[in-house]
Amino acid sequence: MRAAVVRVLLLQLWRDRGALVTGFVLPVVVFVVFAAIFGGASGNTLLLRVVVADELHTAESRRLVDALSTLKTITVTAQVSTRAAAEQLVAEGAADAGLVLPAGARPLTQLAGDGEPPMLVLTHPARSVAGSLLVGHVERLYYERLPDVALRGAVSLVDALVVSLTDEQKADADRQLAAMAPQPGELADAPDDGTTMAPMVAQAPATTRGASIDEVAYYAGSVAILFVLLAAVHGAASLHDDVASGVVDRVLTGPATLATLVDGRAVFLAGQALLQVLVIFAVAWLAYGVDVPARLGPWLIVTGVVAIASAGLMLLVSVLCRSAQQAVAVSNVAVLVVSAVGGSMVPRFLMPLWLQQLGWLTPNAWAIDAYGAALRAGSAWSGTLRPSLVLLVIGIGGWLLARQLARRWETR
Amino acid sequence: MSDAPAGKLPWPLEVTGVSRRIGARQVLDDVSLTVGRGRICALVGPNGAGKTSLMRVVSGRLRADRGQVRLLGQSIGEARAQGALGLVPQDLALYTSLTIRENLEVLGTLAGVDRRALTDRIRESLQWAGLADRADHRLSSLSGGMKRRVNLIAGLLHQPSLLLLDEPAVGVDAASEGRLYALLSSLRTSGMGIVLVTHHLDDAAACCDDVVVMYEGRVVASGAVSEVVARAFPEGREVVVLLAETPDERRVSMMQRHAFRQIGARTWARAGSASLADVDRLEADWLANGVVVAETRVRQPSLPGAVAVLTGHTVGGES
Repeated sequence: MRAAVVRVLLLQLWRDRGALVTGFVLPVVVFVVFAAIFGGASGNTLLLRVVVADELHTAESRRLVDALSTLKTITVTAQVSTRAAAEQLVAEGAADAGLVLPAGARPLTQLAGDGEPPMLVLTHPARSVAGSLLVGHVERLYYERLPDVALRGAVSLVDALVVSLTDEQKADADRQLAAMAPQPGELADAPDDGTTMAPMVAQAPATTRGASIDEVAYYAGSVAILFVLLAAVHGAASLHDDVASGVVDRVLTGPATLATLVDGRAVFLAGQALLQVLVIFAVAWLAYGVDVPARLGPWLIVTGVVAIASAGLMLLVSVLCRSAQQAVAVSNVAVLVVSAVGGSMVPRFLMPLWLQQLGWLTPNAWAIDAYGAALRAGSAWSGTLRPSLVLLVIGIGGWLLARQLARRWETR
Repeated sequence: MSDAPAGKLPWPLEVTGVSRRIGARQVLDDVSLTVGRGRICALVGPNGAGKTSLMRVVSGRLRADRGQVRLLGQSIGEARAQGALGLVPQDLALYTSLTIRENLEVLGTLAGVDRRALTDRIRESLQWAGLADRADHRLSSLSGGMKRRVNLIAGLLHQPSLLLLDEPAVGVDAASEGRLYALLSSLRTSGMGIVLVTHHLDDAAACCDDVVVMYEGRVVASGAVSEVVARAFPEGREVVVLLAETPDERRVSMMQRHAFRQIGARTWARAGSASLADVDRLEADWLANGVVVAETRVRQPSLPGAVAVLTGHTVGGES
């Protein structure tokens, strides 16, 4: 009898192209977009549009602007003469950020002392990350492309704070530093002749795996749980349709019970979820190299409990409502809220701590955690146990409660 | 009310002293009735009379505060488990995106019909209902009458001993309605007991063997159609007057005071002891109040008239 319920839902899904697209195509599209944005992008690959206002008009300031223009990740969209003009372009969105070399500020050669800093980065609240990236680029350029300017500042600092230099020593330093200045045309290539300062900070991958695979796996898991929950909304709410249409009245005159209808839906929703997750991770494996086959066992366990959790939870939410319309509306809102809080939309590590803690009240956070543990190379299977257990409890608990609550429709 | 059980076989339906209160309202008050094998029993009465509540009690969806319901001598739970009860709800309790055959396969399975038997029963049912050539059409593509027939056969696949129908012909044209009632009549030969809730009293009179008239949760009359009509019209006739003009509010009150009920804009009927002589006596009074009678006749009373007399309410229109 449960199979009959599964068959109805399967046929209804198969004949509803909108539901098929929403359930199986949209998740893949969203996953690919998320993976491209967050998984493949970093500060070195984001292309920034920058407006520059050089109010100093010195040789050093021109060199800095020229150096900025040579960066492949930055497009200087406009060079204006005043800070106000640059601010306007950033405010209008014509540029992601702006660099101002303000008149009246400390000279570029002065590392300490009073006065405004010699370089000012303009940011927009909606694109504040662009400002942070530009600050990093400008600081790096200052030391790498204008080493003579930076060292001139260092020399004056030593003279002022450490040991007084003689006039002869100062003149000698001037000569040496003037010789370090790159000639016009050399700017395209970073100076690497030993005349510049060696970098103090190096960057190295913490894993030998392909770039950003973990981020892709994160998004595969987070998008999977989001869409598994969303797709379950209509299937779970269809119980109300059966109540309203009289199907429940008809069915309950025979040996079947409401538990039969709830169980059939639970099986269907879990099966639908398995298929959705399979499609998303197939794309993650084939297109992004997430090595699912190598971690098939834990992945299967996690996928199984994610499917059970989504089915049980959405059935419970639906049964708590009074009509199909209410169930769809409430479920959609609930899914969007738990997905936002649980990390399906924005990586959890970007969230404030209290929100991260709140996330543990959502199935999304546990599913993402479980997939992370399942797919992380070298990690032990045992890492998936705790989140899997939580998801299993959510699923079984939701299903049993839904079964019990649905009995209120049987006899008054 | 109906024939006695054949031999020792129990009644398909036996309701004894059933009462149920919901909130402050007594929706069923000491209701008793029986439905015999091969008998069609119409459950009639105005809205709120308790018909649907009684159906829900019989189908096990509403608990009775007092009284007993036996199906084939068994409790409702036992009868349900054995597939003794069939239901054709007022709404189309079907899946519109599925074909007729798929609907019947699913609902037959949920009714507990064995897979192999189900295939044969679906084929036979579709032929019986004249839907064999539409078996693989989706429900959404069918006419209202066809959907109603599918709704009917979905309740019969498990060959119940008692079939409950709630307004099975609502929303269909006269031809489809006639076809549906003809199908119902043909079910008598199966020995099935049938309870039909309807507002179409002429159809009920034509197709049903017994009638149970309900009002305010109570059974006000029951028995064969002729018995119920005779109870409302002991003299076996009904006087109908056609007024020359539609009466205003004051004149309507006057007609009602004289025990006439309105069955049309200008048509009024009186039950019981009314005779043409009575009307002649009243006419003088009517004329004094500006009511002119265009025509007076005596006719054979009908079930709609009887229900109107017994409950004080016109049900489903009367002509």
